[in-house]
Amino acid sequence: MDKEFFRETLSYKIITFLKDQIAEKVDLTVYIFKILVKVIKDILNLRVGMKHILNQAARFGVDSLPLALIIVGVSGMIIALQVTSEMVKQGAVDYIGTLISLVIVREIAPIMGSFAIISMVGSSMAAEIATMKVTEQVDAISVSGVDPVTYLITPRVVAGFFIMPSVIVVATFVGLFGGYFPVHNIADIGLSSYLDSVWLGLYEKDIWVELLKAAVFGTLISLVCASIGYKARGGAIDVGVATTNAVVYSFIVIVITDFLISYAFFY
Amino acid sequence: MIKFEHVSKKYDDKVVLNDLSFTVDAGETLAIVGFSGTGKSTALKIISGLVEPDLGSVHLDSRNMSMVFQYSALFDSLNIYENVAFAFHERDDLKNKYTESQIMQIVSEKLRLVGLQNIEDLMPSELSGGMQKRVSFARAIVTNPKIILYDEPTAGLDPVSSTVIEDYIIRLKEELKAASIVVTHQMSTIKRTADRVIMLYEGKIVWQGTPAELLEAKDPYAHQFVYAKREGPMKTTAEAR
Repeated sequence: MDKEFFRETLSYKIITFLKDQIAEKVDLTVYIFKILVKVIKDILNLRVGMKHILNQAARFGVDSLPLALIIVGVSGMIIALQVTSEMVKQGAVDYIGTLISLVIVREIAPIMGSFAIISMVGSSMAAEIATMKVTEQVDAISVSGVDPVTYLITPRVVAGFFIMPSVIVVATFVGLFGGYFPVHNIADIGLSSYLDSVWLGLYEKDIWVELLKAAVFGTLISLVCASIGYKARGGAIDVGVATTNAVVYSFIVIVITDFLISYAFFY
Repeated sequence: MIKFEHVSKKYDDKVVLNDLSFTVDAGETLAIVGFSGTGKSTALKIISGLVEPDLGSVHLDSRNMSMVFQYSALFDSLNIYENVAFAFHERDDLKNKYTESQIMQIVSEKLRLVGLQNIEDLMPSELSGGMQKRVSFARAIVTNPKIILYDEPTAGLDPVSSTVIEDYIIRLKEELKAASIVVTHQMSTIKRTADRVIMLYEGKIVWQGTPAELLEAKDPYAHQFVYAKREGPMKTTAEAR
């Protein structure tokens, strides 16, 4: 009886929890979509100041670049480490660079770079705006006759769109060079042979899709993190919750978007 | 002029404002008093457009409005000059109206008006609470607003700083002839700054009159508030729970 009661209670709790989670995520998505519509209107009406975009772009690029380079560089080394010995066994030495470049350009640089940027820039963006919200600074912007979304979110989204591709391109080069060291040590391949193999596997389309992914991810990271920060209310705990939610939700959005873009262009 | 007409507001199931109406004329200062959680700050937020009322309407004769927040709400990523000049740099109708040197002149004049000089390059975190409050005054009056809302302007300040802030409220009323609302718990602020007082309880006006009448009032609500008695018709939010 107790077991049955417990099961019923537990299943009820799980269902309720899932329902709440889904409802919360749907609400959040609708909220973010409304902010996106406002941002697009601001851009079309040229209501976003160049000074704010440049400030945000500088913060976006400077804050995120070191971590993005480390993560993508080390990821390149790990992938090279894993594939090189296998490729040597299969006698496909000439294609090691090709495989590494394909993986790094198509997936690793945009995805791992995005994760680095979410951790460095997205989280601080969400925390900053959430703090402004709970300390009434956002209200002060509104009462001053300035639209807070236009002032706080639109420049960040535009900066994310433009600066992210440059970060990802630099990270891609670091990833490819990071991959060279294990390849050289395991398969004894020289730099020029490795680079030949890298360029052999790359198509123009790969580069364009990588840039597209970077621009879309940059936009989404700024939009999601700034919007979740903007939705915060309460106190210090709520700033922490908003920051965590921004990071988690951004990860999910980026992974799903990556799948959709890859599916659209490569299958 | 501010016309607050039959406004009601609920948060979840809690009624915060219940068919509340009042008017504030140009050059007049209205004090809204009452225990915590009786809807005073919500009324200010509805007037400033930060919160939508469920029912009723608010009529303002000017959109040139400003608000002094309880905890100053200075933008902590901007220095004092940028804080005070914020509306001139960001508001669409003011952006290109003045040159930077004119803005600098206006900002230093407003800072001087609140007794501050040569602090333009400092960040808000480098100022004391009282100084931050005065900067928030300077920011609020920089556009010569026709409506000024004060949300507990002397809360958390020492008695001398409170007196200084009250002096500014009086001075601004004389200089700007703005319609002003002061939400406060402080009797000294009510006595010194207000022309009229309304007392809210459970979202309704339970008493109204002048500050002098408030001090003399035999009304149980006014008496309980003035003498800070626990016994009386009003329960604090904690007691009501």
